[in-house]
Amino acid sequence: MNAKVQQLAGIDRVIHEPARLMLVSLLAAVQEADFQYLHLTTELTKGNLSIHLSKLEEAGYVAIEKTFKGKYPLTICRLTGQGRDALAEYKRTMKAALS
Amino acid sequence: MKNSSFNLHVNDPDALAKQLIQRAHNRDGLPEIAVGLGLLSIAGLIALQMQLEKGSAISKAISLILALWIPVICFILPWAVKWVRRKYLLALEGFVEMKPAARSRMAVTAGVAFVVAIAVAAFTAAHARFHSSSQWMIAGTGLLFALLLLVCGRARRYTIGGIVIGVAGILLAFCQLPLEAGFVIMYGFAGLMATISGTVVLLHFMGKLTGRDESNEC
Repeated sequence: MNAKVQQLAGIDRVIHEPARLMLVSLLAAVQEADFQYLHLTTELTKGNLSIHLSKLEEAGYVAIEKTFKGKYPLTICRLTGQGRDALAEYKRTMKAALS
Repeated sequence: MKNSSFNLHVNDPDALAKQLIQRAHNRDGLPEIAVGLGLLSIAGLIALQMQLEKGSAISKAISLILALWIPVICFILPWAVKWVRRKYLLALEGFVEMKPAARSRMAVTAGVAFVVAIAVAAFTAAHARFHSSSQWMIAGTGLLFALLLLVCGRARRYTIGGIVIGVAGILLAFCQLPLEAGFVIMYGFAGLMATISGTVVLLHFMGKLTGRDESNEC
């Protein structure tokens, strides 16, 4: 098997899913964002977003914290160091495989 | 799942994120309202200066305020937009904290603001001294606004606004107005257009989100 294809076989499937890739990329570009912002910005439905965030949290890529700003409850999401490394590795692998 | 966001830049996650953030930044019309109010304040200051005797102490003071005001609003407006969003639109729009701006970017912004302040001060001084009738300055300002909107604006309303302001600048140049009057009309028109357009977008955005929340509750 071609080495490039072998590389692709080992790709991180948690990040590779398009909606999760979008979420991780978005969270990598900001310091932190709450559920509502992610919902409006990615145009994912609330149910879908919730499932994808849970998967990213399970993988240790996203930290989720429930808090308040004034009287508003917020579900703050931020990319963890592990998530940042995973995204960097994913981009490296894809670039190498597609070049 | 809705896939419209994927139509942006699927191949490059960084570019995709950048575009999503930019689109989110412009979706509520607040930046337009802020820029519009900033332009109206500049038009107001120039109009005030027109009422005063040229070369008087108050006129010179207004020139100085104008020269300082332009760079100051470059820093105040983004902060004001963020404050309004956090204070009044948090429940609707959600919360986001951007990464702190890099020092190099801050230095570039401060440098540009300083150059603009010097340019405005130098232009005001030169114009007061030589009384030049530079109609091209009005057309140039309109075309500069148009260029900025066409290049930086990523929405149809910016393209239309850019074309309208560019045409308005050229038409004003043909009207042979005094330079200050031309600038007041130019800045006033651009400011009013941006404020109205931003307000319409904001109302539409709020209506859409409120409607969506109500239908979710049903």
